[in-house]
Amino acid sequence: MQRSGRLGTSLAVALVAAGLAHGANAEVRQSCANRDPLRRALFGDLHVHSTYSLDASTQDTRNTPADAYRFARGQALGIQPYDANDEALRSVRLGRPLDFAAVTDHGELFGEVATCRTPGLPGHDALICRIYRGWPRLAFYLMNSRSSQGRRYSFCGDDGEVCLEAARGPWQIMQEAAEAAYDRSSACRFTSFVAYEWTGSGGLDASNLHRNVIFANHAVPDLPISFVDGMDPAYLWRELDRQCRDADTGCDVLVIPHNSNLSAEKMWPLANPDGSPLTPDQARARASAEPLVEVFQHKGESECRLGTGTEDELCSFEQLSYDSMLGVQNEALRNLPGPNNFVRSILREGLVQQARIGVNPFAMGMIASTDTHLGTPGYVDERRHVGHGGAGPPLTELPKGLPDRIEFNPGGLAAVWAEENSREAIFAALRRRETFGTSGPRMQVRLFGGWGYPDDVCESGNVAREGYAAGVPMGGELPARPSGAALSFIATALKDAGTDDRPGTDLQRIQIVKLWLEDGEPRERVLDIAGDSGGGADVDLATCETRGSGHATLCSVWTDPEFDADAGALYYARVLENPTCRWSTWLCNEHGVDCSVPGSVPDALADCCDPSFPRSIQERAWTSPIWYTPPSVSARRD
Amino acid sequence: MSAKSVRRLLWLGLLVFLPVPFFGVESGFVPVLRLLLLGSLVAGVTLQDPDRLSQLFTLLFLGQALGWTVGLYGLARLGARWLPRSVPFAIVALLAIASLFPIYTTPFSASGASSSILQIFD
Repeated sequence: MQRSGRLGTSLAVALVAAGLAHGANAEVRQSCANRDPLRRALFGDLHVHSTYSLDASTQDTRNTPADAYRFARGQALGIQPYDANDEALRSVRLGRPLDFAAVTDHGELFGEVATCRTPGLPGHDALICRIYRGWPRLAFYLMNSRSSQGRRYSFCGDDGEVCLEAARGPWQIMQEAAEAAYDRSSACRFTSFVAYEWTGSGGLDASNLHRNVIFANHAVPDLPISFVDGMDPAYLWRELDRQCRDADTGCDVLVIPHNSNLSAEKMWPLANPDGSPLTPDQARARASAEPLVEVFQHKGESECRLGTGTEDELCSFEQLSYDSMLGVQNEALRNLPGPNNFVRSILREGLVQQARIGVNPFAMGMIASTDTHLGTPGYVDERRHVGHGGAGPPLTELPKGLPDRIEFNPGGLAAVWAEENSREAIFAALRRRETFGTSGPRMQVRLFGGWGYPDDVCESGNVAREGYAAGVPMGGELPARPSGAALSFIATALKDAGTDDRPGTDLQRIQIVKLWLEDGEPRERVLDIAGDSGGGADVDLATCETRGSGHATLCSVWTDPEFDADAGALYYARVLENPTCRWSTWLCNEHGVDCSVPGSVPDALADCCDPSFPRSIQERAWTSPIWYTPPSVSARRD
Repeated sequence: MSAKSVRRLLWLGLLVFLPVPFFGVESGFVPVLRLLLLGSLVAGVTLQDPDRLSQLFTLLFLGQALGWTVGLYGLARLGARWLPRSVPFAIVALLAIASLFPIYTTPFSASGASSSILQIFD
């Protein structure tokens, strides 16, 4: 096994070297044996932390990027706590390998963390490094806070050169790990991306402006462009253009914001700091850099929130009751989330901006991921949740109760429709937003929009062929409307088959979420277009056994009867499974918690009986939208 | 042993062993000595590299440590005056023994939430 791993690495290095020798940074790899021009769904995780992230290391995560990629490919991995012999006391393994992954360690403190951990490096004996080694949780706050103010410690030197130099080590290791894990053989089993997280903060409220930066291939900047270098996302985009996209090295990149639910409504400003409106150039820069958003992960859902700009009852899924990272740490400092914490509101606002300036700055497709801080990409199993350790305290012994804060969850997966499992094909899918996110299951969802699909297309057996031929897939923009044509959509969903010992859950329904402008005002409507909510399927919360049946597949052609050709609109699909037990219910049941006898419930499991947290969930998928731009706006944009 | 010596012994014992509540970004129960230690460390960082959070932490740690130091001094003074001579010794001995068990809650520690005195000063 090890030998084949080394051979694979050698092959990869040789192929890359061959490419470099020819002066090209284009992919050098064997052609994929399995290539489907109609594309297939690939599942991955584009938000993963390893020991090189400050917050992961201070909670004793020891797994490296290489470990994380091995885990993603299906190997078992030890996780904290560790015993006196440094043996991991817990081991985890994916039921099914992932198709792709990106390790996205926080780019801000690579050098500082490396310095504090490596004897002999200049600055290793600095007081803050002593605190890092002796009181890691305290160091987590102090060091994070400093980088959140865009500042470095004095041991880094006047221009930060000491820490920037030290940062080269981890950055190089991350690149090498991604290169080594990438399957360049014709089997095309696994794709890895070089990536990192830009860890911006909106100020004292610790509002989350975080974004993952995903590179298309091995051509990347010398060092990550971090929040310490420039505290404005626009700076990040400009520098990525300068150091990557315009650098003529074959480098390409995209940026994926996440956890807008914790951004105190600062993730997507609707105007400039001086109050002036966004300009078309600003909107273009944003849309070009950030074609996607991570709508769901370990620290909650960011699609929408019931009562916050919507009355959609299914917007009460995996919600946090606070609106910034400060609320994670301190109950007394919590504020309720506002509408602009959520993607649906911002997608609506994108239509408003587009009508005003001709460009939609918020035309984002959707993915989901885990944000694991244990180095365990794609570990989304509700039944075996071990926590993801997001910025949590270190574990010194096996958890006696729930392994994570009860309001968190196991996270989700990113899915793309790509011709093959290669960097080129997956990155192209991400760029064109032919993506969807799931809350964990691997259901396969398609959405096509076009001018007049036949009503019987679902019976044709060629949904994808007809979908592409006569329209655009999820993430696309509808072409100009033929005179008088009706706007219709094909939505299909195939349930997650699961594994032999853990079959997937039946589907309940497909919904279309329509957002549009009416007399300049944003509107929304949520419609069931396939399946139904009245099937009676539910889950026995005492045993977690599901009852009733649903659908293995769903397909529907839906024509918008209220389509207004003069108003901007977007449509995305949401697919729901039948109800199942939430992770916390599985664990509380396993521990034999009986909430009817409060005295019998140990403190460590007290959250099991908190009625404010749901005991069942409906796993789901969110597709990227399909946009319609009215001719009057198209003419201004073009 | 003089009353003054008993008072000092009791005060020192309380400072080193008694878990007192502290409030910060995270809260817990720790000995005052630990608050002083953390406060001194963060004060050192603040002097070297001042920023908002390190200043706030310094204020929180040292402010609370100072408050408890004064409060426990008053308590030790009362104890030395009113309690039979053997009781302060017993209190310190009991606290010392209890401190070997995980009676402290120390979110900022490397060794997790519940710790003994040996773990938190490890």
